[in-house]
Amino acid sequence: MAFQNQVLFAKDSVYVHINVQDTKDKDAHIAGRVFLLNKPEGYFIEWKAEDVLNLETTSEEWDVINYKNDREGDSVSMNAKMDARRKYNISFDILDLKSFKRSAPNHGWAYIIFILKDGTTFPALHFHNGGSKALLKELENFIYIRRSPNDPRLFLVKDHDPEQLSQSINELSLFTDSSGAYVQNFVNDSKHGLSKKFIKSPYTTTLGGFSKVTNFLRDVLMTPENSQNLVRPQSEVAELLQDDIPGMEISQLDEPGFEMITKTKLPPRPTVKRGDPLASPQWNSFFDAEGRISKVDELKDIIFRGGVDPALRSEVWKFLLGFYDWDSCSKKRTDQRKRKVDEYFRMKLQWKTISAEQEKRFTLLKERRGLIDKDVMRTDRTHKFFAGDKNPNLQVLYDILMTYCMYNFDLGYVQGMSDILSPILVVMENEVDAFWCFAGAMERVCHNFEMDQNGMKVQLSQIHKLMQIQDPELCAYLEAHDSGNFYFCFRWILIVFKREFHFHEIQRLWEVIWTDRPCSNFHLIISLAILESEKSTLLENKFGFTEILKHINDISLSIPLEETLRKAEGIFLQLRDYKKLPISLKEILGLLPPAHVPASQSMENSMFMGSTSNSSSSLQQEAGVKVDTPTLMAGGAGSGASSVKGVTRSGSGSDLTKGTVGAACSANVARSIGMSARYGGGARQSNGGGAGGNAGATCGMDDVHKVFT
Amino acid sequence: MASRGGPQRPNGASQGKICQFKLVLLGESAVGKSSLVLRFVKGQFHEYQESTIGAAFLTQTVCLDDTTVKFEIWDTAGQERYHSLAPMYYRGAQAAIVVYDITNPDTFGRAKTWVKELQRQASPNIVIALAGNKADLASKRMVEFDEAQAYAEENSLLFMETSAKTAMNVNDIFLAIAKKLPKSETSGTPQPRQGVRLNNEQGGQQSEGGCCK
Ligand SMILES: Nc1nc2c(ncn2[C@@H]2O[C@H](COP(=O)(O)OP(=O)(O)OP(=O)(O)O)[C@@H](O)[C@H]2O)c(=O)[nH]1
Ligand SMILES: [Mg+2]
Repeated sequence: MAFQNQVLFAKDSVYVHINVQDTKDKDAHIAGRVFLLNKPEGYFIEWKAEDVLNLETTSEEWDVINYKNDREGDSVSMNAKMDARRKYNISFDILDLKSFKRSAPNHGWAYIIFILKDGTTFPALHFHNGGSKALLKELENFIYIRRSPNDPRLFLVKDHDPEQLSQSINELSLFTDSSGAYVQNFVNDSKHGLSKKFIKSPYTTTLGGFSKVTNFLRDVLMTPENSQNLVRPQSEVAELLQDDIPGMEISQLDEPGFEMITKTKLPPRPTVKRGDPLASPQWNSFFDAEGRISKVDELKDIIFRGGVDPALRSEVWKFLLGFYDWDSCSKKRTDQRKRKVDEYFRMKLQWKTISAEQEKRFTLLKERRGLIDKDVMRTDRTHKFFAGDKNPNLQVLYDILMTYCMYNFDLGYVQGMSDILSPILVVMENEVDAFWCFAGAMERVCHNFEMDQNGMKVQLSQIHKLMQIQDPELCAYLEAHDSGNFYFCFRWILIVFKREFHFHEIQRLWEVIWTDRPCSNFHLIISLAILESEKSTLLENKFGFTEILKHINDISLSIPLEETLRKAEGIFLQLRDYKKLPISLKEILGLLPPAHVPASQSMENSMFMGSTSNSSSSLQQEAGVKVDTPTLMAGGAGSGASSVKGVTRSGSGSDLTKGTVGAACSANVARSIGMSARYGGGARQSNGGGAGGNAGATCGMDDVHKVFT
Repeated sequence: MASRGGPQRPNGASQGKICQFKLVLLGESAVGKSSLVLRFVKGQFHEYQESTIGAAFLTQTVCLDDTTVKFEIWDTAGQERYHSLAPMYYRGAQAAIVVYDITNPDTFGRAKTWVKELQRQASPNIVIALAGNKADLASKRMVEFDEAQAYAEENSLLFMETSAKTAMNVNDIFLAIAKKLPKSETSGTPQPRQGVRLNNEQGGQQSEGGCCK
């Protein structure tokens, strides 16, 4: 009782990695200390930034530890900075700890991610100077920790009321308590007769989908973790599971969580390698004498595999986002750009010239102005590009969003759009370029923002459908925990993972997605990949509806991008090669033969063979938007075909969409146009599969629905 | 003092009842819903708080005499476009805080719409509080205290003006709600979800092992 807070463990050089301030930098790392404290109200793990600690040396809360005040803060900016730092404080009662995840052994330095019972997931604590093991050792004095049988990086904290568990275990006296949460699940459920439903010969493959369940159970029983306590020969396990299920009908309604009896056996997942970003010499080599990109497919493959060197982004993105046609030559791009500049300022003038008096009678515009005002104030303000109170870039952000309102008045401004614009503006550093690239990016996602939210619903249900095949266990679990609508992925989809990744990572992710490889719905597969990585955390912590949502919100900025991309591509390939893949899923994955998607004919030689057929194209066709030429991915004629004429649409597009001119100039000229013009111009705004002109935004959700379901 | 401005969990002494309540925040975009929650749960305020997309979920525990009240707080996105998601979050809620911004009369109008919707669609016994936020911006006030209070009385709402920025009345409004909520035997939350069985078991363990031991 001598101390208010007794320090049981302390370790410095423990870092939290936060969002980058500069796109080119590595993550910013905040140095701090981690503590295990004995407080009057319990045992706590805490982490605080060094800056914060220095400031608090006098605070009564910290009377045990004495830090040197090695740096006197300059008082002016200090407060704001402290507030920013405090934001990362971590403090929790160890009784609230549910589990934690450690870094992979080969990871540069060890980190720990703590996860609480309510689903709170703290940012990873990186032990740059060791000490993670020591902390965990210390922790073990107070709580019982065991490793997950299914994920070697996941550790579960056993609840402090062991009675219930051991009791149920004793009932069956089959399992040891080290055999994992699943077992407890099974044990509990066995009271309700579920175990009766398990299978006779779990090792016969003829049972198809059932083997999945039994593997599941077998893994629990047979993991090395358990083997010291429980070495059961397979025969015995088989016997154990023998309690038979006459009808094999496991009803979804009776036993939520165990309807994973789907006859899925996906082919094994191929290993996937990622590549290097597209760099300058390589990029230049793609241009012919007229400044035309020669092998578009090959180029897109490279971008898909490794992204784009940040220095090239502002140029390459203009192609990816439809600012330039893939098959345009330099001359044409110059022309287009000019027109784009004019067009932009014409639209900008439209809202600029509405007087305050006039706006009083123009409620709709006033409302939109209000929304944009609010969001510009709070979009990526921690990023250098937008930081500071009088930052002029805020005005640019505002002007582009207002102009977009005029460009696509039917859609209006919806929260989340500023998130889409921000990384693009940072790359373009130019108002006009950023506007048209933003318009191109919006073309891909505008259905996310439609009034009836149907575009979102459709995509969330597509994730659901895909997961039913790809991971029936996880799918069943989510369904059983009221998460079958996948609304916990809402933010992911709405703004294409913008809030989930660090700034430089989102730029990488987006350029990969914009290649439409391996299909135009790759973002859905990315969702599957992330969820797969979180699967053991969700299941073994037995997270329910709220915890799932909270956990998924909290893992933002700690999702490993390249690993996720590899995983996602692997999943795609598995699904693609799965013989029994239902038609509806093939459609989602763009795997339907050309007959269904005529426009994709020229695409077959691409890396993913046929996969580039793009559901939004079928959308477009069904929606009755007139398309003059096979527009799907203007550059898609990569297999040497020079047939694609540049996208021209008559549909409801404005005349902007028509211009595709042909002429000659060098890559260098092209670049100089791209980079130097203060007000870039000359772009069509429709990208790959999108509809042209205003049509894209207004092709209603009904149309999407028609195609996607 | 530094890290947690919000109410602390109880002092280890064995407590009487433990109640768990679901609370939802509603109100026009940028009125300060997320800021109020952040202040209540973490004792912090961010000038540039990001807009909420989808929904956020947080928990905070307060002690009221011999009762431990655990709030499960749902913070929703305010923009009209996302209105259709709201029922998913207020369904089954025992309490709601409807927030408006005292410097913006439109947001007060919107708050009234939310109150109506809750009275019609939410649980019949839901405790509704009205929060006039950004009270620190008194010089820009556009919604009079009296007007809001009169409205609150008519509709039997709890009412306070708050400031997430200065922390004024933030804990108080949550405490006032906690007081008004019916505290039955163990848990206030009859979780109306599937999977209740599992959750309940878990909840039981949690409260015994976690909160008040
Ligand atoms: N002066 C002042 N500003 C506040 C207060 N509360 C919030 N703000 C500011 O108002 C802005 C919006 O606050 P949020 O908490 O994000 O608003 P919200 O209601 O959650 O908005 P949505 O998530 O879009 O629905 C932020 O810039 C806050 O810093 C307050 O009490 N006083
Ligand atoms: Mg919010």
